[in-house]
Amino acid sequence: MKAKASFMLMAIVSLAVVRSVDAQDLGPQFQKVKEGIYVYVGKEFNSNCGVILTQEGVVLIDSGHNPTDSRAILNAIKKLTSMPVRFLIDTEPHPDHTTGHFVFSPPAIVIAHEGASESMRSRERESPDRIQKMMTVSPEMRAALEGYRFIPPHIEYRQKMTLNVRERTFELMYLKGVHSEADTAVWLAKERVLFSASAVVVNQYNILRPFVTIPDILAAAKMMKGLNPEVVIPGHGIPGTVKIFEDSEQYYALLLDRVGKMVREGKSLDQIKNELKMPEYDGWASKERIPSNIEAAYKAVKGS
Amino acid sequence: MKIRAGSVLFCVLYFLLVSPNLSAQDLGPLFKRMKDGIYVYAGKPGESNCTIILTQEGVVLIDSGNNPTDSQAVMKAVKQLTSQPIRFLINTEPHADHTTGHFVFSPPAIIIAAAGAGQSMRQAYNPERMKKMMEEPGEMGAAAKGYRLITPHVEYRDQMTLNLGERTFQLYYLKNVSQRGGHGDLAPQRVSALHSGIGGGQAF
Repeated sequence: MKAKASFMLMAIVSLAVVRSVDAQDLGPQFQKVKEGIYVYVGKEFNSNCGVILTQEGVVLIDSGHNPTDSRAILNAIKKLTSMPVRFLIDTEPHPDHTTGHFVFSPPAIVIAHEGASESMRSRERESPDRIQKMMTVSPEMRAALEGYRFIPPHIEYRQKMTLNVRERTFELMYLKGVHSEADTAVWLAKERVLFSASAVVVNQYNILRPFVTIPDILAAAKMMKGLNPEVVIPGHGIPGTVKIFEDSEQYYALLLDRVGKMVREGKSLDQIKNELKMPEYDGWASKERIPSNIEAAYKAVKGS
Repeated sequence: MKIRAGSVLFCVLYFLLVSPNLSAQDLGPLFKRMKDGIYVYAGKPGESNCTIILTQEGVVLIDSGNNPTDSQAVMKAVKQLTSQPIRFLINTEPHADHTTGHFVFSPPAIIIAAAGAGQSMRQAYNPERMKKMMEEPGEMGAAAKGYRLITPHVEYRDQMTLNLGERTFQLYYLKNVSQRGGHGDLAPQRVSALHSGIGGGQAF
C-alpha cells in the first residue's frame, strides 16, 4: 500500500516536472528529435540549440544564435519543464553560439573545450562595443539583451569529458582544427543523437579559417560517422542523418580533386581561385566563403 | 555620493553574505585556514582531508570528508563561513573515505572526478555497509541519514579547468599513484587539485 502511494506520488511529481508539450506548441523553430530532446533550428543558417530534458534538469547544447533566440529557447523550456537548466555545453566559443549564456547562467554551468574562454575574451577585447551595436539592431534585440553579462565557461575540458545527468550521459569530444579554437561534438550514445558542432554544415559552404584543415574535417566526419548516430544535429542547418557527413565528404573530395588537378597543371593559388568552378554546389549558401575553401584545399594538396 | 553609497553597501553585503569574519578555531579543532578563503578539515590520523574554498560565486569542496560525521561537520563550517551554496565538489579519488559524504552536499553541488570514478564507486558500493552505518546509534547513524549513492556528474580525462568567480582550479589526472595505507589496493583514478588562487594560483 505504501509502495503504491509512493509510486502515485512519484507519477504526480513527474507530471508536474515534465509537461506534455508538442514541438509545435513551442514555436515554429522547434523540432522534437527524440523523447525529451528538442532542437531550436536557427533561421537561415543561424546556429542551432539543443534542449535535452533529464530527471535532474535541462542540458542545453549552445545558447542560440543571438539573445532573441536565447529568450525564445528559455520560454520553450519553461513550457516543457519546471526544472532548471543545469548545464550548457558549447560546441564552439563564437558569439553566435555563446552570447546568450547570460540568459541561462546562473544557474547553468557552462562547459566547453579548453581554449574557449580565451577565444571568447579575445573577441570581447577586439570588439568592446559589440553588445552596444547589437542593441541597435531592433527593439526586440535591445529587450533581449537586458541584463547582459559576459559569461565564459566554468568548465574547460581537454580532449574528452563525460557528463552524467541522471538517466542521460553526454560524451564530449574535442574536434581538432575543424572550425573554431575549441570545437566539441556531443554524443548521446543511448539515444544515438549526435550534436556535430560546425565541423560540417548543411547546404552551405563552411568558413575555413587558416588553422582549419580539410584532413582534420574529414577525420572528424569519419569519427562521428563511425559512432553510427541516428540523428545528426549540425551547428548550423537542418538536422538530419549521417548523410550530412557523406555530402560533406563528397564535396571536399571533389574540391581536392579539382584543386589537385590545377596544381599539377602548374596554376597558382590566385589562378585557381579565379578559375575553379563547383557548379554541383551552386545551390549552397555563403558563396563568399569559397576562396577560404580553395585555400584550405590548396594547402592540403601541397601538403603545407 | 551615489557611487560611495554603492561601495559601502557592497562591502556590507560582502561581509554579511560572503565572508563572515571567522577564524579557523571558530569552525572547530580540525579546521586549518591555509590561505584567505581556503580552509582544510584535517582528518584524524589516517583519515582523509576535506578542503573548503570560498569564491565570490559559491563554494568549492575538495573531497567530502572521511565519513558522514566529517561531512556534516564540514557542512556546518561552510554555513558558518558563507551563505552561498556549494557549487562544486572535486574528488581526488573515488574511494568511500573521500566520497561517501557526497549526499550531504549534492544537490546542489556538481561532483567532478577523473574518468572511471563513477564506475569505481558503483562497483565498490555496498548497500549493507551503508545500511549498517545508518542504523548505528549516536552521531554516525544520525549523520548517515538520507544517504544515497551520488556518482560524479562530470568525469574528465587527463586535465580539466574549473573557473568559479575569481578562482581557477586546474585538475590533473594522476595515473596509478595511490596506494591506500592499510588497504593495499591501487586506486584506479586519483586526481589532484593543485591550484586554487587569485592570479597564478598557489599550490597547497
